[in-house]
Amino acid sequence: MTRKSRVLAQCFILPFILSSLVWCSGCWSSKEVEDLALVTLVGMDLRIENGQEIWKASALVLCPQSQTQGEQAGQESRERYYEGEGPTPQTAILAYSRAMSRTPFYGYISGYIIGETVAQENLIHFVESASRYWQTRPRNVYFLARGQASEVLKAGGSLDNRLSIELTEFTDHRATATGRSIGVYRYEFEKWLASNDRDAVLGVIQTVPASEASYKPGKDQGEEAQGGNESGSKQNNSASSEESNSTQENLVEGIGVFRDDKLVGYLNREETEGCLLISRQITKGEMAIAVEHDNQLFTYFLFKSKSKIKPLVNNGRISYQVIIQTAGGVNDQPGFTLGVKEIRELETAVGEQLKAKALAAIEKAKEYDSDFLGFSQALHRSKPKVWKSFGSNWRQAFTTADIEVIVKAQITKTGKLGDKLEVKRASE
Amino acid sequence: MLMFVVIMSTGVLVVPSITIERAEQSAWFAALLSLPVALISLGLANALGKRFPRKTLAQYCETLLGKYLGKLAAFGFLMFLFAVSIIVTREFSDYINIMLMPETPIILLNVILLVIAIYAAVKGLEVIARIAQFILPLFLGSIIIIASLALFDAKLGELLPFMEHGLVPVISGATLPATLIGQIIIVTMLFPMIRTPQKVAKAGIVALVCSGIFLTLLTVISIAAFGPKLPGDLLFPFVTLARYIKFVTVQRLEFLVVFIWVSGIVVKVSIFLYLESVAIMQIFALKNKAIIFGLLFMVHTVLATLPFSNPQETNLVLTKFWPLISFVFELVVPAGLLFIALLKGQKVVLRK
Amino acid sequence: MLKELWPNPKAQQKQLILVSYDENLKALRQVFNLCSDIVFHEFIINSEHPLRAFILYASPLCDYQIICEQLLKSVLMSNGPKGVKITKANAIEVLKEKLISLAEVVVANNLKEIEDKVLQGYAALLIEGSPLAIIVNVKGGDKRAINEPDSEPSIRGPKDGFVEDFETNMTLIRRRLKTSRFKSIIMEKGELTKTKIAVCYMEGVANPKVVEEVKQRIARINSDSILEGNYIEEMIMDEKFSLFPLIQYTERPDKACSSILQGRVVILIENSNMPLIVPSTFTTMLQAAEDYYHNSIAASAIRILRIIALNLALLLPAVTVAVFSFHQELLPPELISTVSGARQGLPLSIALEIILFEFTFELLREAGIRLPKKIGEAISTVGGLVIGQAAVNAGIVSPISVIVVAITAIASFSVPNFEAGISLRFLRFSLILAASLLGGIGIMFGLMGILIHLCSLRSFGVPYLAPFAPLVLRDLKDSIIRAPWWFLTTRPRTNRALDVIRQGDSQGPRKPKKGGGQS
Repeated sequence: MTRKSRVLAQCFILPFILSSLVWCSGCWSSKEVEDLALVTLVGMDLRIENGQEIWKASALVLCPQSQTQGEQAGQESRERYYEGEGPTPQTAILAYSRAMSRTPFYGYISGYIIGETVAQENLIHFVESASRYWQTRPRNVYFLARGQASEVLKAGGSLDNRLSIELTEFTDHRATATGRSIGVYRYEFEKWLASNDRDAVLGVIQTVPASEASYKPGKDQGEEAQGGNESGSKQNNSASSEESNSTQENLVEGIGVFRDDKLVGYLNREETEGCLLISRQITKGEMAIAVEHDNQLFTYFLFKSKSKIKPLVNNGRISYQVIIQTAGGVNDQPGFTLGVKEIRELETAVGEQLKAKALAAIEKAKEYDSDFLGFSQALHRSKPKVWKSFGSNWRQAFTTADIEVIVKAQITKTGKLGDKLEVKRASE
Repeated sequence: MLMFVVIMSTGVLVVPSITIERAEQSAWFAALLSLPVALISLGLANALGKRFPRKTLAQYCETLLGKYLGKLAAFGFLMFLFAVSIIVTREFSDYINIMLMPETPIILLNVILLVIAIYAAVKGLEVIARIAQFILPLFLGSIIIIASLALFDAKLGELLPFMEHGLVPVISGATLPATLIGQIIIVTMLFPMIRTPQKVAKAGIVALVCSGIFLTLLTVISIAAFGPKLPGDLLFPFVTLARYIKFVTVQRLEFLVVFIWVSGIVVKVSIFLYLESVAIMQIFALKNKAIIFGLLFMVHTVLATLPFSNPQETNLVLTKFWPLISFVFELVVPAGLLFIALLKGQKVVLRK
Repeated sequence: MLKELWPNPKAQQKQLILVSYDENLKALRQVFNLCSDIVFHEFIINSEHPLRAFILYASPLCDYQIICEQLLKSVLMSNGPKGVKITKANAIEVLKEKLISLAEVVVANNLKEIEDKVLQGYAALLIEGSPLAIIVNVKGGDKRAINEPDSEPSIRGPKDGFVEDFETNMTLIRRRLKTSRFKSIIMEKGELTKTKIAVCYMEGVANPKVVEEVKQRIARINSDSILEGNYIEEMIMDEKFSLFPLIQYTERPDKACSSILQGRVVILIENSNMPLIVPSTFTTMLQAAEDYYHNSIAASAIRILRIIALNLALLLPAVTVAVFSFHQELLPPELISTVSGARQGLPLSIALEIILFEFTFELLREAGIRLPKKIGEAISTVGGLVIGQAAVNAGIVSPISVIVVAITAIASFSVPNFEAGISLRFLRFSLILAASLLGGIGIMFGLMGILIHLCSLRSFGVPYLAPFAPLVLRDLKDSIIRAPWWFLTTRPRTNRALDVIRQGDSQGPRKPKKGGGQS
């Protein structure tokens, strides 16, 4: 009898104590899905008033899809804008959190937009606070706002209606492909900021009037790309801009360059493409580049590129060799014959054009004294002793060096036609 | 196999951080370097085990050192076991607290972990070993999935240049993994319970080499993904690694880490609790299991909750004091015992 | 009290049959006093001196036709064999050896034996002036026909299932195992029910230690009644309490035989259509007999599907709770806005919702089983469809919890072992609780607890989680996957089988050598 009761006691009392312990103390970290405000994007601006920093945090919060009987289709989910101010990033964030009716939840945050002023004045403060917070993820994206981050958030998204999704998509797939800008993940940005041989870059996002941002003929048509129109590559079509009521639209273009933890300047279109060619590997490109040949323009449609930086040391003098290999196609051209020999010639022309872009980026890097192209990193890795001899002036190893760019451009695709479409031409 | 789980469970989480902080891009070598140290410790354990096949460390301490000194040494070893299990418990709840559930009090996590672990420890060594055996494939599978998916975006170039600052930071980085996989010394306590003591050395070596390789692999991947500097600043690079994975639509794999961590920790804590109970029984000649486990439960709950007020303190203990204490008990004490045993002319006993 | 109503069996046993016919009749009438189903049939045997005799049988257990045509006819209608005179002295002998044309004829000399036999369906024949009784097997009566096993139906494979009748069940096994090495040891348990229990095993294959252990554990039972397998199942288990079935049972004779052939022991119980199989492990819970009748690849895939189903049934609601109230970031970003919209304005938290719905589902299930088949189906349809839809429309629960509970229900039905399904339900609720308290960590702790429990279980000395823990590599071929028959050359080690080799190596299909063919 006693034995039996003891066994029973062992079997039931322990779980009982456990469960009562747990029940009595409640459940702390539990929060219901419906009580969360899903923050998707955070912007941070900074201004200095009377020598005091004032941070302005802005956030986009996902509005839950209200469920009406049966018909959910057609309702796009929207994002709502919030903002708040405070002396530190966290207090600013708290300021807007107070305005919300629900607990903000950052598990779905897609990224951060850093205001220009933050990037110039006190970048680290914000980056650290974002990094320390437990809900953030390494694959969040960072963008640099030219101007105010809050403006960018206010303008919102266009094609998707959700800026957050647009930016993630952009970083994942389109940034390097179109050659418009660079997509940077949080871990990458932090890696660059932490490293002792490379400077950071960020993609730039800015608000422009809708009329400027919207109309775009397809990029494949060569003459447009040549058109020098700086605003010219938002990939949305006119239909979406008609629907959208806001007069301001966001445009991702160009690259912001950092030196240590300070923003030092921007790259224009040409230099952005050069930078991408040197520092990134393009795999699914759709970069249309207008190239001149025989006084006529044709389009080189670049879809693959690879680059390698080779540091060379000759008698203590450092030089670099950048080898860029690209593959692309020619889809439109003003009546060249595309024979084997002609293609070789075209390839050289393309190579020259790409080389010019790469050199432009390198020039700019030297001008800003910022090694965002990874030259010193290459030196550090292959010749650590030489790199070490520069000590803290490691950027000199790049700025003073000769840099040779070798472009091996290939034309691998020429479309459905053979040599050319024979058409009768008006004689000149 | 049991040892592998024991070592990997904590190793996975903590090692990359501390090792990379010190040795930067050469950290993977540090992880590898810790292997020989642990092998020495296994060798010592094996040599001792062969001489006293039917006794645990606590028992032959007395034979070798006399009653009082022996009890003292055994008590010291017991304290070492205590320290390991308490720190492990604390690491666990810190991790959960930081990465998953910041509002949940640490004491509750500790209590639940200890209750589960004691349940396993009460069931005995065989059950613990079987649990280890059961979760091992899942455990390895999860690590391999995370590692291989993370490898897609990793850049092995980050590992260069090798040994930039010479050997010193590498060695200092190797101390922690060495102490971790040096925990193999607990086989000295297990010897009498193992059916085939001849196989211990072989199994031990396999376990050590495997865990060494896996630690190295993880360090390599952490560096390749996050560069040589960043993982040192992160508290749990492995978790960040799991969060970083985005392979087509496969992402948000943290739950695998939770799986690895919880299952590994339960096994680890329960084996230590079991050994502690055995040691206490032998040192103090106690018999009543209920009292011993009750006591262990109290001590662990209190000590894993109170002394550390934040994770930084756990980290401090782990980096500063821990290697020294561990080395004493993983290398010095067994070596001393073996030396005395040799002096006293203990012969290798072959057990039938 | 008990003793008065129930005369001491030992005293009765010694009571021998007397020479006096009337005394015997009286004594037996006394024994079967007020037993309306016991028939005393007095008649006179046609001989030189007419002999009084009577037969005694339990009418519900006997076949009237046999009694009339074989027994009574041979005794009453004949004048005895040629040249032999039936006298008082030789009546029993003559009847037994020359007249009664029935298969099983024995002679008994005490009343206790007569009583026992009569209650088992024998007829006893007592003749004037003889202290012996002839006991003839006239078993018959109504029994269920062999039909398809309800609880384990199959598409391919034999369609016969065990019935309640002991002999029929034996027949079903013996038909499949035509060897003298197949042994069945019969024991009788239950003071009032006198239930026959047969311990069946294959000699030389089953481990004698296991057989001995089974016999001992059954011998230990001292109970008044055994009506179903579970009466002894819970007494012969290894653990006092176990959430998991440590003993398997089956309704399929083919499954029972394959178990015997693998070196396991089958315990056949009278009046139960579900013999027990020991030792049983976790993997056997997930194996259906049909696995061995289909293509091995398909069977393996189905087994994997079942394992997934098991995990779903166990974990899905708990994981849902954990994800929805703790780890929201694990939901796909595309889903979260819909989900949070759908959950808006609902009165209950997701954990309560799921618990409530699981509970409703359990109610439906129980009601469906208890009710007659036709109504049961109606109940489950009405319950499942109407209540679910109505609850969502009324804004009581979110569609997600309905989906989750429905998937869980479907998954839980695909676990072949019903008993395991029950323990699964129990664990599911505990895990939901754990998840609602500590989220994913709670689930992990819960699972570790279950794992510890599983690891500590044994079934007749065999670790419950074998062949995974302890790992037996050779047995993995018939665990998660089912290897082709030509590969299953050994019996599972985990059953501690003596004779491990089951069939020769390399019997796999071979292509005929080129040119070697006849055509």
